[in-house]
Amino acid sequence: MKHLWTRASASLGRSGMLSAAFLVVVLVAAVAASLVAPADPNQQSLLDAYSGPSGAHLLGTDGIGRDILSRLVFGARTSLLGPALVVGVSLLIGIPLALAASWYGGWVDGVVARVFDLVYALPGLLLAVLTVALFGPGLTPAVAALSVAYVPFLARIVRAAARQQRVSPYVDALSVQGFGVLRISGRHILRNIAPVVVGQAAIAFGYALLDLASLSYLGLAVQAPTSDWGVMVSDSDALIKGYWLPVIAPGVLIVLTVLALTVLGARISGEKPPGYLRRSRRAAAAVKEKSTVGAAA
Amino acid sequence: MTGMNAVEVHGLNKYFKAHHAVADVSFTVPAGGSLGIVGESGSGKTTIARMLIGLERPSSGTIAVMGRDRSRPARSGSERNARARELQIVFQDPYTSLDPSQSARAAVDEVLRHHGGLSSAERASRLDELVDQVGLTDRQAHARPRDLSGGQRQRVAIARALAARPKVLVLDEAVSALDVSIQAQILNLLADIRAETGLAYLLISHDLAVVRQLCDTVLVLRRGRVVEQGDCGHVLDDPQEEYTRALREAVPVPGWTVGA
Amino acid sequence: MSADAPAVPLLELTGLTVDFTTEDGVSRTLLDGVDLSLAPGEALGLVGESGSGKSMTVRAITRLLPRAATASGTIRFEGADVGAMDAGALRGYRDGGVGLVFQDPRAHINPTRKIGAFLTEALVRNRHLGKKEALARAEAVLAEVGIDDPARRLRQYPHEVSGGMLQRVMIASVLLAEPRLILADEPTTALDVTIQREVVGILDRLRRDRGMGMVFITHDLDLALAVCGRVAVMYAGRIVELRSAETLHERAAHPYTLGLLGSRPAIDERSERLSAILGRPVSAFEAGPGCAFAPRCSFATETCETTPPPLTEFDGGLVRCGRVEEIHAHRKSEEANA
Repeated sequence: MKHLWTRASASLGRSGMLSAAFLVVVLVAAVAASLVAPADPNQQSLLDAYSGPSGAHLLGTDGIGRDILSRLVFGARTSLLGPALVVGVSLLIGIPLALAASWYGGWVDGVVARVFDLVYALPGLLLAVLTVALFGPGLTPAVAALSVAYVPFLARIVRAAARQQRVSPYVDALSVQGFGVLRISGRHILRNIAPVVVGQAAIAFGYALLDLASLSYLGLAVQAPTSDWGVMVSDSDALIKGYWLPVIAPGVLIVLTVLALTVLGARISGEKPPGYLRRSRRAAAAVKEKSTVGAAA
Repeated sequence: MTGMNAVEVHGLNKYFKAHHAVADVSFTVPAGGSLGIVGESGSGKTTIARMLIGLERPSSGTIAVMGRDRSRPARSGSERNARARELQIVFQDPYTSLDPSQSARAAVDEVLRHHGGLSSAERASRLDELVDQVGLTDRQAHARPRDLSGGQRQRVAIARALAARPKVLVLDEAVSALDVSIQAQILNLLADIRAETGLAYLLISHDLAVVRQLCDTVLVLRRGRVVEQGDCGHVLDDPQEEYTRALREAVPVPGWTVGA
Repeated sequence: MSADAPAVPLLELTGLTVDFTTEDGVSRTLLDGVDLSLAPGEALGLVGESGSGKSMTVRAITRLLPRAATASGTIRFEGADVGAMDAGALRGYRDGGVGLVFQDPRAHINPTRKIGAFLTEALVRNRHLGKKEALARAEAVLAEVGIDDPARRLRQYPHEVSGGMLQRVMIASVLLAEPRLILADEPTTALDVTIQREVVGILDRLRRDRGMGMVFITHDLDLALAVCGRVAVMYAGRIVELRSAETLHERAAHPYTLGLLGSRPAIDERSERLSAILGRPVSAFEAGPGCAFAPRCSFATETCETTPPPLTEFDGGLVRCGRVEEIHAHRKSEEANA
């Protein structure tokens, strides 16, 4: 356990570890919402409307007296579930396409790459708005549309990383052993590019969260009264009446979550913090290279 | 089956667009024999190796290994596996020829599982045998490639190649990237393995001394064509062709004086 | 070092040590007290395997060490302390004092500029030569390194010429600065053997014609013996043996040198078995307190493991081995018995 901790902190760095810790807190809150939340998120109490932070309501209440902290905690569920679905479905579509393109190359690669380019050119939000226009508002159509829109964002990175592996002699050695494309691509190559995929997925998760929050804000995805950060930000009534906390609190949460995901994603993909350290790190790696296991050859 | 050649190559040609990379090359390697293919860059030696292992398709000509034709891509998984059990390869660069996320044992075990036919107890003992045969310690066999030196990694690559008990081993510059003292260890190891198993070698190399040490016969290649071929000692000691002589004389040896 | 060396050597290293600090703040020694002296016009070979420190020596000499590395000891070029040079003096030292030939010319020549531009840049910028005159000089030097039709080559891009040709271009670029010392770091390792012979021949001829000193770094002991007058064998950041190229084959005394000689297969006969050295080469920071080679040495005793041997005179050369006399006597008696 201690070993795992040192390894994680070495590869993620301080900013990465901080981001991971924040995300863990959010995730635990979402999963254990009914235990964590101080109150029922939908319990109205018009007498308490727009009460400021107090012992009873740590972050105060909204226009119909619902506890904001509890709504944030329960809102984490829908706010995280949507992006998780988007990223999951995107990966399910994108990874096989990207692996096939990098494995076969030639026209397969050409076709897949052009399709990615085409989809990439479509703004995800526009696609989602069009889908909602066709099928009506709700989380499902919004998630479906964004899932398609996010395929290139994830798959282009997978394709590039897999292409590098494809020309590695170890891949040749495996195919000379008689292993087929499924085994080599789906196991060996995928495992070696996993950090890149996970990192990019984390970044995509952040963007998808932002997109879904925007759609919910516009009333196109998650519908009130379900508690959702995007829906909460859209509480214009509060702003008009001069109560900022019900809007700012979910907004800050969205920003922090997206930021943490982006930082963590970059660190997982192996991106080092910018600056002067880079050169000496490479030199240090060269020195480490020399120290290997045991004496014999 | 008597006197069957391990490798038979006839009239092999390979074009890359207009470039004639391999031109009418023929050779045989007897079962248990050892052929060195020598050439400088652009000689086509690596292209020949890639055609032998099926990563490149010949433009014309035939390649047969243990009597089985492999001039065309394998038509089925079982044919691919049968070919794998006949011929294996060790590449030059020990840093990229191993899956970085697999230990030596995992890599070899995967091959053993793939080719099947062994109970888990048999597989475990075969694993120990292979690890031992290539001179890896138990600790090294459990380590990831990044924790191993170049020579250790090359031992892993050899163990992996031997796992399916092939009859022919292609060594594509397999000792060129190693330190001199490690190169000697691996050359000794390869000589031992051949003596123990009766494996045939096809050594692709630019290094005449390495070829001499490991091979019975040699084929000198230049710009895709065979310049000279025959018994290793004869060709190297008494080259008939100007190019072979130039190669021979370019090797720095004691008393070699610089002249240009 | 040798008695007939002139009063001021071309290059003199005294106790040259390089330490590298890793990102965890651990200090690791890569080069450990190297003493070397080179007379003007002399060619010296530095031979070693991975971790021997041969390339680090060259980097230290040119003060091109990585940021995290620090050098101590002194480097004197024609008597001047290289470590104490200010920016101006250092520029003069690198432009006209020493010239560096690298292993991979492609990595050191800008691929987007023509060979002519590459060759004349320093002449125009540092020597303030006119473009025409600079090109004329470049053309002359290209001819000197055996390039046919040099005027055409000047108009070509690096990717249009072969690796062997590009290495000659690299050598030409070094010559244009008219250095007194050439540092050649594995200059032929990436080349075919027939090209290697040509390139090495050119280096050798130029060195003689121009009276330049040369430090020739290679992993190939036989190549060093063919090119250099003296050869220093390095192991784990130290020189373990230094002697004249002519006598090294017969008189090699350090067990590591003997091991290297036995490791290389011969071109003219197959040996039953190569006398491989056990284990792998280590870097200086991996070495124990005693002789760095002791763990791989078949002659090593407990004393070898604990006491670092000094570099001492033996049989006309310098050898860093505590048991050199015993080993020598042992080998002689074995030879006599055989």
